[in-house]
Amino acid sequence: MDDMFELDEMAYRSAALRWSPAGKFVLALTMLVASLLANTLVVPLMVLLVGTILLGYSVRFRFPKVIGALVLEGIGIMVLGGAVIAAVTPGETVWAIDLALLKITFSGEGITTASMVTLRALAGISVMLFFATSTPIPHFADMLVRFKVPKLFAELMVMVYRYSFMLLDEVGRMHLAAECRLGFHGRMNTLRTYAKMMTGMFIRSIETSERSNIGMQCRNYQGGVGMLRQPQGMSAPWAVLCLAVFLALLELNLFCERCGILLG
Amino acid sequence: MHIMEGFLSLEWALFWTVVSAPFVVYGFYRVRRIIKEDPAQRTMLALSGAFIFVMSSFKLPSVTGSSSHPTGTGFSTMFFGVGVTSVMSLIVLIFQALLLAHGGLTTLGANVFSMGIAGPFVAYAAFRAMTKVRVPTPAKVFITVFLADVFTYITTAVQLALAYGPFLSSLTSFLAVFTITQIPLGIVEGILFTIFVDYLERARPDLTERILPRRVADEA
Repeated sequence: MDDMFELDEMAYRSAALRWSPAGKFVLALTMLVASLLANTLVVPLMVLLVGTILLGYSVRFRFPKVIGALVLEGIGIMVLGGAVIAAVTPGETVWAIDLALLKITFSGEGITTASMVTLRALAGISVMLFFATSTPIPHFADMLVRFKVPKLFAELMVMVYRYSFMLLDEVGRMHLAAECRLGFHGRMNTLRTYAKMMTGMFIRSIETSERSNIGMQCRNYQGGVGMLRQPQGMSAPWAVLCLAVFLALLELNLFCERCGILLG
Repeated sequence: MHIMEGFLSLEWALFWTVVSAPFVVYGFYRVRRIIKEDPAQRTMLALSGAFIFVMSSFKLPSVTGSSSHPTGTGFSTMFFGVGVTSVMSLIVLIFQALLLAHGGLTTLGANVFSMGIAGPFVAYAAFRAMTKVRVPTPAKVFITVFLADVFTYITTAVQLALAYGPFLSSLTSFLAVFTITQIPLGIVEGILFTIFVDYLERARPDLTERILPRRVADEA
């Protein structure tokens, strides 16, 4: 969960902070959709390349450990999911693993589908991390309001985010105290300690909500999220850029299909 | 374990988004009504969302040797109902996708359906049935949380099996993988919440009295 603190700080220091959040979001979504529509591995590879370059620019080409940890965790899940997809897809068997009670077979089609899906997922992580490392959550909420999402939803989202930091801070202290008292010694003891921490956190969150509510009433809070500097909206150049990227990726897909390059 | 970005084709991603949308809209209508009736609930709801999000960061020991995290939706279902849980799940899943690289943006609809709608719906139905036949609180809490967890992953297995047919053989394979990791997790999460409610009853009986029975009375 320290990842969250680091990503939040990174977003405020990002080289792409001043870019329009809506523009970044639509660009990210465009690349993800193009990657899903593709029939060749080249398109997800291209999205991965563009996503990695954008991510690099966003973090000023100094990739912190947290990015590596997030990507590695994602790869772990992808590999497991990809292996199951490769095993369940029907087709001519090209590889088999003979376990004592179980024989797992992989078809050529299954391996191709799994490669495609894994590559899409990897490309997706790079693109989403670019967005996350360059867009603080309040900017994201502001973007949602501009996209006509109800203000209350955006407001709740920002409040959940801010309160998460407060609770995380609290949980960190509780965790340290429990660790000092050997609270995580043994499985059952660990469960009891976590249950105590959850109870403490739940009670504290209710008390905080009561105090916070009084504080907000004193300031005549009427809803909405205030920001010191309003982020940019979706401009015409961003719309043109997103459309151009989408069409270019579709064209690349058609070209690879015609030439039979790395078909998925 | 949510469905990662890129694991669903565009057709399935859109299908699950369309299926989830009415539930989320209804949930948002419930949230808006709760806040309209009592504006003080705004902070309470936000803190509940934060509580679910933070709780999902707890790494629980699992029998497979790895560690997993609770979904938190069982708790949310008991305390706030299915509608509110779907909205809170949407917010938490957006954060998990963007900040922790768990899940994805195009798979958001599918993940909301499994974690915020299907799992909680089954769990809440069981919770109400058990309340009617006066099942003791620890058993009720354990079963509700267990069902919310397990049905979330059964739904995820169905979603993946539909996307990567033939349906029955794919479903068996995906369920086999989830059984190894998620049944133990569901049991561990159930025990965790049973101890949690027990501690809460001892530390702040007013809270459990105020929230647990009131929800049942409201919905009945």
